[in-house]
Amino acid sequence: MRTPDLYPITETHRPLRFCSSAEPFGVGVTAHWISEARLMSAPNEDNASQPQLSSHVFDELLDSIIIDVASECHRVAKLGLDRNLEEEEEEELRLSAQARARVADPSNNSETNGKYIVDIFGQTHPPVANEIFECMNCGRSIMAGRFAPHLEKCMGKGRKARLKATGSSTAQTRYS
Amino acid sequence: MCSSNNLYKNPKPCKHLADYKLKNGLCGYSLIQECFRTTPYGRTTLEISKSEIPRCNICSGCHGRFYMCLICSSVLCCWSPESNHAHLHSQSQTGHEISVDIERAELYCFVCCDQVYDPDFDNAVMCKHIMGFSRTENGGVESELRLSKRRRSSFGMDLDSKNMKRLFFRRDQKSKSCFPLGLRGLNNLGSTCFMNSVLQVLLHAPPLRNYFLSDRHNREICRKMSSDRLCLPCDIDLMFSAVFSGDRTPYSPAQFLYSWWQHSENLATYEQHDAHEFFISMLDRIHDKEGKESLAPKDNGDCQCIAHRAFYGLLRSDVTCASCGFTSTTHDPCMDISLDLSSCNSNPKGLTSKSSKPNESLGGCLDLFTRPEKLGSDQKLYCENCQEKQDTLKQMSIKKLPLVLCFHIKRFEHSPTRKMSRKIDCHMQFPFSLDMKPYLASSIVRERYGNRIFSFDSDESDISTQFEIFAVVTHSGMLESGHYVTYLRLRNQWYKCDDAWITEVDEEVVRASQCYLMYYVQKMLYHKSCEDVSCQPMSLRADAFVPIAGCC
Repeated sequence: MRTPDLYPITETHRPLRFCSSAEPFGVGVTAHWISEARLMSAPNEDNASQPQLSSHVFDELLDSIIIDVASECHRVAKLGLDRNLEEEEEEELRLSAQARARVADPSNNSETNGKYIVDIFGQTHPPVANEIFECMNCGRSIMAGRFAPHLEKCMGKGRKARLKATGSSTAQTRYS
Repeated sequence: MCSSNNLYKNPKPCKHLADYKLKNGLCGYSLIQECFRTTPYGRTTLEISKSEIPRCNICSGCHGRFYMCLICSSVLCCWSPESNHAHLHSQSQTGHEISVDIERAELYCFVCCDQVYDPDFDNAVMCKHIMGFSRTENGGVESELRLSKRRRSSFGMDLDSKNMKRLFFRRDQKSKSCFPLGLRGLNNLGSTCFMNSVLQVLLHAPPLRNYFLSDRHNREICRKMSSDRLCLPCDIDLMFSAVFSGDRTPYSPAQFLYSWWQHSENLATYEQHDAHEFFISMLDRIHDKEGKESLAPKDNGDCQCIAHRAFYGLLRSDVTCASCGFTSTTHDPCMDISLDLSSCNSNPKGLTSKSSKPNESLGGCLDLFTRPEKLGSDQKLYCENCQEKQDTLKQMSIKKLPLVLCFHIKRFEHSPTRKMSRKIDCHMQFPFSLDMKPYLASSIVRERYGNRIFSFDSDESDISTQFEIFAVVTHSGMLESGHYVTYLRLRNQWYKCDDAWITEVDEEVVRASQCYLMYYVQKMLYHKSCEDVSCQPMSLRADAFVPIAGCC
């Protein structure tokens, strides 16, 4: 005679989503079982068998849950819904951990944070972009790296420009 | 081209199940269907009697797991290897091999000692779920469980590069040694790295790149047709021409900035902005201009502007009553998916946990995103079925995948109660190849009902679920004063685009980086575009294009 085999529960790195914690679990059946068991046991044995009863209930619940999870996983595996998750994920995690370790290692770090590096086209650039062009709003020649703050004032947008326009002293004190 | 049509594979029945089906057909299932009891959480059990707990036919015991024989409906227990009356029954009576586990409504074969599957049985189970709501008008559950009709939708093939190739490119023998086209630094105009980082992504997003380089938005025609002088797509087109011209000195997107500031009042300030905010604002502006002028929208009502054609997706939101299981479904459009990091889900009181932080991953965040969430009891919603307010479960899933998928990781936490914001610095692992299948509405809904073999209305087999990453925008530093850098993946080589500086990096550097925005494109488009960027430009128009002999 054989019990239904407990199918190996596939280990995944992500918690199984199947058993939603929102779902009340088999408690209804067990409650019935407890009341039945009480009726069956003799009255003067009640106190003695109390821990045994709790133990049985717990075992029953645990078995029920284990088989439930096994059954779900079995279905997922048989229907081809698990897609080699485990292998792919492990590989990705390994690569990620490896990458972080290598990058964190100071001896490996060839990248200089300074802005005097040479790009792939063999060019170097100053920290503040120095290309000069004409502002399309006012026509003045502006350096690229200073274009945004210039344009802001030029177009009359932004906080500082708005303050200047209103000229209100209360506005100034509020924002200063 | 597309992934397999079925999202699951039909398992082969065991000999005994096949024999059972031959002899009895579906009548056993229909009889047993009356005993199915469904819960609002998608679970199915068998209820033999309303008033009594199940008892074994052989021993009258109530311990262990119970099975109901499909032939004679006797209920038998299986408690231990020594006390397995269900197995005994199957041995003593020939033909009584198949039974149903009453706790889970699953078929079990006692000769094979294995759980077995039959689409017809699952069909009977699902019909029971549907029947529970037949009296309501709103087909929340009904509509999703109808048999699917395959709808062919155009896949965006007109966005591929065939046209572009004919007009502009010819293969060059030396191309392998040259750097990809369109790789060009962008000058920082004053705290504009947030803008540069997103521009680099858009310049290399295959659908957008193909669209603009195929001259789909012609500046001259646009100027004549539109009385409106302002046109952001025109300035974007100008930028594409410049960046793909072959000139490798850093480009200053000044005209673009000017144009964008004229369009967006509130974002027109000289200060650091959020890259994601800028990205969304860009798509909005493109849609504003192009959406109106585009050809008549297709039958399904989807906008045909380039922003939508590239990024438009549909999210599905299911709200389920915890009491009766009635589900109401809504669909919301999305241009990107914003994901929470799981570490910020803990501790409502705001205490930082000192224990080790879990390893964050994109898969983990997506799991979190599609997880069924029980809304608090202070958020009870009105259920049409029960006619009163009930506790509800909410679950998100993806109904329609876009061509380009943008993930936004919510690293900037704003707490209105404590009036402060902070940045979550933890590292998040993300794959270079991504399969979105488990997050599709069809997978999520199917899982909700225990992965039964059943065709759902939302089965989408005409769009592939395989994606490849092509750009990552990272943020380093503090909330107020950080720096954005984009990593681009062209021809399987990663390039770091740090404003004006373009450098080659190992994929390790990208894996170890702190991602903020991640852009995935459908695998097929990615591989096609890898071919395209190895070509040399050839000028057909008089203006910006300058043919170059070699670029190294």
